[in-house]
Amino acid sequence: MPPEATLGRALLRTLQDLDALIPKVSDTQLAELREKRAALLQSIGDLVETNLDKASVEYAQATAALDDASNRIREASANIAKVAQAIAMLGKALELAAKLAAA
Amino acid sequence: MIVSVRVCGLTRLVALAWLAVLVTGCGLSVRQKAAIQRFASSTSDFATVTSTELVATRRDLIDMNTLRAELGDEAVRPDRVDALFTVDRVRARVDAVAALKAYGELLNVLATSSQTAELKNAADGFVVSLRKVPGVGLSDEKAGAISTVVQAVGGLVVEYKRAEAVRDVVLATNQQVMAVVELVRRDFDPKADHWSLGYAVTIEGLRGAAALAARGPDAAGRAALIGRARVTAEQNQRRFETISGEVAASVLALREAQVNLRHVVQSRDITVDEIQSYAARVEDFVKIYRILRAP
Repeated sequence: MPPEATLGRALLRTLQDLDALIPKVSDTQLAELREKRAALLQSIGDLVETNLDKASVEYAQATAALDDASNRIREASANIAKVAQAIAMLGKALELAAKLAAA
Repeated sequence: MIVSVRVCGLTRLVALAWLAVLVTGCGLSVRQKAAIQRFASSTSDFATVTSTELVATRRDLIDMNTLRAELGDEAVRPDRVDALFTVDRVRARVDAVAALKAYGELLNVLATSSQTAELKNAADGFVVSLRKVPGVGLSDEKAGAISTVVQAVGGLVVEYKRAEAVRDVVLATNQQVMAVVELVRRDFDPKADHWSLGYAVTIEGLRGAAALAARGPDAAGRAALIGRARVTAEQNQRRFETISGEVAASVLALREAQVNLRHVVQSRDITVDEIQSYAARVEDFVKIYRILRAP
């Protein structure tokens, strides 16, 4: 086991070692092994659930931030589209101004 | 003012407008646009594959826990066969990579979309209006020239605004992109205590359940089920190891490409090697993934 292994990985390695013993132990030892195995599965499961839930909050924050970024891009695209609108409006304004001047 | 257009000479005005377009150079270069397009497209592909894998691992987990229950593993609660990878947890992750995908796609559109048709229509409309102004007599040739000038200047403004927007967005979004990428990396890290540990412990749970069943009194009658459990555990482990490695490599390439992208949008002289490497990395990942998850 590398010294830098996390708690979860250390527990998983222990579970793997226990499972490897299943075919080898006596029936009496097997009952004890079952209990330890169930406890280990529970501990690792609890750890994973805690970590995943914390990360889910971080994911949600990152999602909101990226959604904001996407909205900024949509606004920028809309602003770019306004250039053509401005040209068309300028033409109409000239036309209108000329009509008013002629009246 | 408009009448003076005629006086000054349309040819000179057209030449000046085109010169302005060429000299100003304030828009994105073809190379910059291509780099942004490549980055955005690869990010979209990466997000799609990652999202698919997150959903697929939940399905795997349910299948493995169901097999464990069939083998009599008391550690599995029949009402929680999706334990660890619940819908809420999957959704939080899928939403984030979907947001990353949307960002990539919108960035691509922003950088590369064409306003040519809109500008042409607007410029033609402008000339039609101009012709209605009393005292402005324009031949078809001159009207066409003015339309071209207006379209060209409009195009210049569009390219300027586009470049400015892309720079702003890429620089402002760097942190958010990196945040999602880091979360994905951690989830698939085979040494971390996140998504990959949940998958690994479920695989080990299945192996243990098969080993226990093999020692049970009815082991011979359940040999097929035990065999299937063992094969499933091995297959899932091998596939997940490969996919995790691909995710890790793609994440590493994406990080470097994101740094490169920040420089690309600010300078025309920068190389785009990291973005090219990232795109190639993601292409490999997509190909491998399709093979591994082929139905």
